[in-house]
Amino acid sequence: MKLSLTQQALLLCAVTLLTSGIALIWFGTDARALVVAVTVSVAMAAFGVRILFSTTRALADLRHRIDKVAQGNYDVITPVHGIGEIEKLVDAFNIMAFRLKYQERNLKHRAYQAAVLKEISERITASLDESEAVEIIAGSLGKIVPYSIVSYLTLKGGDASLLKCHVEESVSKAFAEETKRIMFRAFAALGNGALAEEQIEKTICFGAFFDEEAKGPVRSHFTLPVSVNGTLTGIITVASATPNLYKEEEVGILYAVAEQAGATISKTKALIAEESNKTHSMLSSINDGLIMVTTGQKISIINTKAKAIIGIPHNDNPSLLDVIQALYGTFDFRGATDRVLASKQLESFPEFMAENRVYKISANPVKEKDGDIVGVVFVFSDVTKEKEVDRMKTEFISITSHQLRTPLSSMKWFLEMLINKDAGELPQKAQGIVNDIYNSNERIITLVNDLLDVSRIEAGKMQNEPTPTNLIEFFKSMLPEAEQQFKKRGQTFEFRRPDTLPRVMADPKLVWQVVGNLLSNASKYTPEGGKISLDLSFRDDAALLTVADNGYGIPEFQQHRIFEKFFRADNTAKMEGTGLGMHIAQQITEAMGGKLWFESTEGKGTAFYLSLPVNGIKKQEKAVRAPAKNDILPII
Amino acid sequence: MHMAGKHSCVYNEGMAKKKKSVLIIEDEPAQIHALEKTFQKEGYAVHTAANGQEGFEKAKTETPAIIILDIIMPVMNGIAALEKINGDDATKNIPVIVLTNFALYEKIHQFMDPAKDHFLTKINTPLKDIVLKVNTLLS
Repeated sequence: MKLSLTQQALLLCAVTLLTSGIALIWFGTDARALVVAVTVSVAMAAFGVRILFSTTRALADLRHRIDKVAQGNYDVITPVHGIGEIEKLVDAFNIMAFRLKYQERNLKHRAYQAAVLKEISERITASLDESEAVEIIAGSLGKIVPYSIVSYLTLKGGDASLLKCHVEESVSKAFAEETKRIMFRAFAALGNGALAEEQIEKTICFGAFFDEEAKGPVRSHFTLPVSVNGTLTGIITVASATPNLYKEEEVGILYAVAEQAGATISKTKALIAEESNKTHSMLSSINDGLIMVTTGQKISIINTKAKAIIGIPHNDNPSLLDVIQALYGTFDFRGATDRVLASKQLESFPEFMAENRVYKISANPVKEKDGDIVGVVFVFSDVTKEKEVDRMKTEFISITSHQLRTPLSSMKWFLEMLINKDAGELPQKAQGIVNDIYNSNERIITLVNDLLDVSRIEAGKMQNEPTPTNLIEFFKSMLPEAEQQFKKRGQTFEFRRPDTLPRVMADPKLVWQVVGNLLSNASKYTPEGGKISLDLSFRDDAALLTVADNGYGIPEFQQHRIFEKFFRADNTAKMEGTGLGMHIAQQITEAMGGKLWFESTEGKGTAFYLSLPVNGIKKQEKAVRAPAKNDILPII
Repeated sequence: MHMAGKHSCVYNEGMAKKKKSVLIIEDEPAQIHALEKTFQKEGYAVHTAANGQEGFEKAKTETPAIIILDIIMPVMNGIAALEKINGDDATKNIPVIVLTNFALYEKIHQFMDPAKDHFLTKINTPLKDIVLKVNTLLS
């Protein structure tokens, strides 16, 4: 029996008093009584000191243990032999430390589990693939719960083809078979009908070897289903040879993870499907064919129209090779892709025919936010209508130029012969009439030529062949003819130019068509005896040509219409002209990459400015396909 | 120079020098007439052909000093004829003046030999200028 500290102290006092009392009664005042009392007191005092000492030591020990626990070291569960209450106190403390230790270990485990579960969730969300989700969960289970074997099965469209199992601890084959049966039973219990052995094409097991000597039967197990959009897409069965291993709490968490994984995939898939549906409907409804090929040589987008154009069945999902083959002989798809990837910019390709329609092909590199090129997108635009309009315009030019100009040129030549007396001397009156007919014919010729120029410009058939041109020399050679006209009207003409001028990249024929027209207009719309000038200068990398006159000028309220087709100013209405000259001049100037503008005051005169950039404009690319000889010309 | 054809022999009668010959390939009778009269008046021996095919054959047999070629013609158009003339050893050195009202010049230009061939638009060229061009080229 152990006495508490108080009991020990009371006992000490009682023994001392009792012994002293007995000594007094027994010996009276005898010296022996005093000796007994002193002896007992000394013994009692020594005993007291011992109690005090052991108490202090036990308290120091307790203090030490408290410090250790405070520092997170819970390994203090060693018995302590102390006195009474102190020993109880230490015992109570030990129990507390033990509980703390257990709880902390539990917390750590939970935190670890939570981290693993979070990782699983993140990996599943990142992959968004049902079969991968099953693999991820199965692969991470070992971090959460101990097991001997984990078997898992992925189901696609109700088909189970591959069963995998990870053997953690050596078990017998029978153990693995038992695990599989548990999985099958769980599958049936989930209401998915029976899963037959034949449905599994292959079983792959990895990890530890099977050992027939190994531990006994399956003693604890649980099964996790993974569902996406309410359809079972995977099943995982965990089994161990150790009994009572899986606590409801842990398994519950795993269930929650599997469920959440399925839900995340379902939700994200639905979202992606909705977005892709929108994109798909948009791509299907556009009238251009669209094909995107990735730098990884895959066709990532091909819309219905593109399939129709290149002749791939509507429901097919063609590979890059299918597309290349479908276009073989009409369009080098691979070569075009390489060209865009090399140039990193928009490229246009020659038109091609499919099903009696004409398509223009252009391709653009597809860039990501950081500028990396991830693929090439091809657009097949139907230009059949445009081509038809073009063909009609060309046909108009072709027919007008031939049918209309042939009789006019015959007339021109015969009238010329009559005037040259090839048919003998004409009477005086007849000569005058023939001259009038000749001039009228020339007017029709001018009109037809102007109309033809307009059509040719509109059909893009105007020939522009820029060459480095010395404008000073060029005008020197061209001006004498124009000066004849000025002379006829008694007008003075001045050609002012610098000593030198950089060569200008321009087609001299076109430059003259514009300047000749401006000079001819200047003469026509300036009274006899007026002044006309042509100035050449150079500024801002462009040649500036100024044709000025002191003629009738253009009424201010009509100035904005001067370049319109068939427009004629009110004050010139009685004069000859088609109203096409300025329109043609402006169109030609634009084709040369130049600018044409004017300043005019009615009654004072007009100045036209033509600015031609020294570098001109790039020569228009010719059609890549050489025209066949006979298909371009009607045989008339 | 190659012997001129039998027509030119008629005009050659009594002349010491053989005439230079012009081959006019043109389908429009009125224009053949105008050109033929004009060149005869200028002292040329004139051969005519009514289409490209006939013109190419005459170019080979007659080897004219110069050819005046229309473009829009039946049987064989002027572009095909031009290609044949410029592709045949017997005719490829004969200068050709394409004389036409057909306005799609670029289609013609690519078949012309810039070293010897020329282009004139009928409607913008008086007969005297055609003669002038031929005279210049042959002088």
